[in-house]
Amino acid sequence: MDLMELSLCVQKGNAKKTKELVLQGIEENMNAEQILNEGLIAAMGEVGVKFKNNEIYVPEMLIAARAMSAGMQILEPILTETGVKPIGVAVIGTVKGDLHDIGKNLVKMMMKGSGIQVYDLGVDVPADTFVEKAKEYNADIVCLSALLTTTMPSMEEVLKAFETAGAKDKYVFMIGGAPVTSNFAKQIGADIYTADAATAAETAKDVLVKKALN
Amino acid sequence: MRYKDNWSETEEKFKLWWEGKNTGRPLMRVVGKRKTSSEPLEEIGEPKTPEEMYLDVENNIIRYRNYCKSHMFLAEAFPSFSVDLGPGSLALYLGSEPNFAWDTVWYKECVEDWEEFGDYVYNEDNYWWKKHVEIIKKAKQLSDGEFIINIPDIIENIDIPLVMRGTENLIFDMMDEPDLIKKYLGQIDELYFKYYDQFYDIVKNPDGSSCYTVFSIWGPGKIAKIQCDFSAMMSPAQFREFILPSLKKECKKLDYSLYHLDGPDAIKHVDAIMEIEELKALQWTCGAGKPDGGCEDWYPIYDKVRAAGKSLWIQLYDGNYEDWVNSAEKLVKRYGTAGLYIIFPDMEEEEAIRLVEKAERDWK
Repeated sequence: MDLMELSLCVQKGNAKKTKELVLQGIEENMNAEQILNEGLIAAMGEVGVKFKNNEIYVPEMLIAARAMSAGMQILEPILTETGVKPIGVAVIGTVKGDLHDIGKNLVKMMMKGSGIQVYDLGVDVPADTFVEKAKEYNADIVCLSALLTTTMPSMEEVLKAFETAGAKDKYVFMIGGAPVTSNFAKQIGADIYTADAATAAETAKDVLVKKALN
Repeated sequence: MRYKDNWSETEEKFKLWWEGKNTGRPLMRVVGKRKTSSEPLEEIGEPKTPEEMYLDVENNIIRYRNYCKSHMFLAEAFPSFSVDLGPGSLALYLGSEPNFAWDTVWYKECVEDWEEFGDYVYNEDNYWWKKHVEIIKKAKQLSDGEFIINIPDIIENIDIPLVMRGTENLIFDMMDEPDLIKKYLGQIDELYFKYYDQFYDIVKNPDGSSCYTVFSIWGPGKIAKIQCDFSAMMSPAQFREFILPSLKKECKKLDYSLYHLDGPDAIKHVDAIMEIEELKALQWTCGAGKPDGGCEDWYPIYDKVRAAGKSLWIQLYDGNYEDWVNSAEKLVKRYGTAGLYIIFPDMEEEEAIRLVEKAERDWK
């Protein structure tokens, strides 16, 4: 199986062909981790770059992520069996009072495409749920999304809930959403603000790689 | 109109604005809070539930009449009352259910599978359609000609399947089954006017003129704000393929249309929107947390609107009175006063009077 062909399939969002190529790779005894890294993750890296350069838009990004997910369904059991671990764990959710999910979903998909295990807590998520789930999943990163100026204060409430639980230093906090800015991140004590899903995934990956090196 | 002094002058200004023309200062929505109400206010409590806030038209009319008595409508501001069931109530008439909240109405997703859902069809017995007609008729009757009742924000185009199907599902549908989505958009195009026309017939003024929801616009005929909020997610190619044909059809059927461009992610479609020959004007909504319409970052949008020979609707709200005046002055200097409509926030009585005086004197 040609890994370049697989990568292009994912980039074009062809889920059916992606599945076929991954299966072919497995049948040819290719290394599952290599298929993951050089086929699927490499593809999503390209997708992220094209998105940031306005060469592709949300729909193309979503179908690419869907294709990657189709390939991952085949690879995941093999990776688990062979002891290959994700580069880190993130929990993600849209904060209390906000029902918007598309930005959050894009970040989730791009992070998965970077080899991160992501637990999606959904929308309208109470502060305490973030604390509880970050602990339960042994997360490295907590990602908060808000699309409304009126729900931005809920982000601060989440950070306060971690502080109250004595757990704020255990995680890296990333925030994003249309009205959110880097100044707002500083103001509420979040570690990182990113402007789009591709940058969020790239930044999260950097954080986890640095953490692994330390 | 009871609470508006210069109404015939205002009508003339709007007629010119739609045509990209003007005499004197630009069109301006200027509302001043009176130091003393023009008439005694009627005692009325606050709504107890979000549902009541939307559906209790009798009490809402009393609240609005109190607003008219305690404010003055200067320049081209005029009293008009909106009876909306949230943004996009066409989704309700076609099968969705509302979730009333204090700050908005959410519509529940209701299309699990398009095949199972079938076609979009007109249903005169739909509960929310009947309810909306009932409360609009009631509002018209209770307003007693003292102020205008707006055509409600029923919304058209892909924003209706969007709320019924959900963002992500709809994006996948557009990629996987583009012809199916185009079929539904064609059905929405037809149905929108079936509902719009009935509302227009209820609320139109005796001379056939009308007003559209919260955008403070009046026109001598059928007018509407048109939009595609979903365009923020779309590529320019998708916008041209899926949306532009519907927008063109809408603008042809309306006498006067204003495009509502919502947020920075929608700016990439301005070139396509400006190609709609029958479109008269563009209204720019800057997006949550972004600076108001006076910010120079938005001038490239306005430049394109001007180059296409269309009119501008620009809202100022950042800072205080002095900031609004400064921003307006810059806009007038750059774009002139023809085809320019500036929306100011409600302000103190003396500020409102001072603003109109300044505009009459300096912004010609």
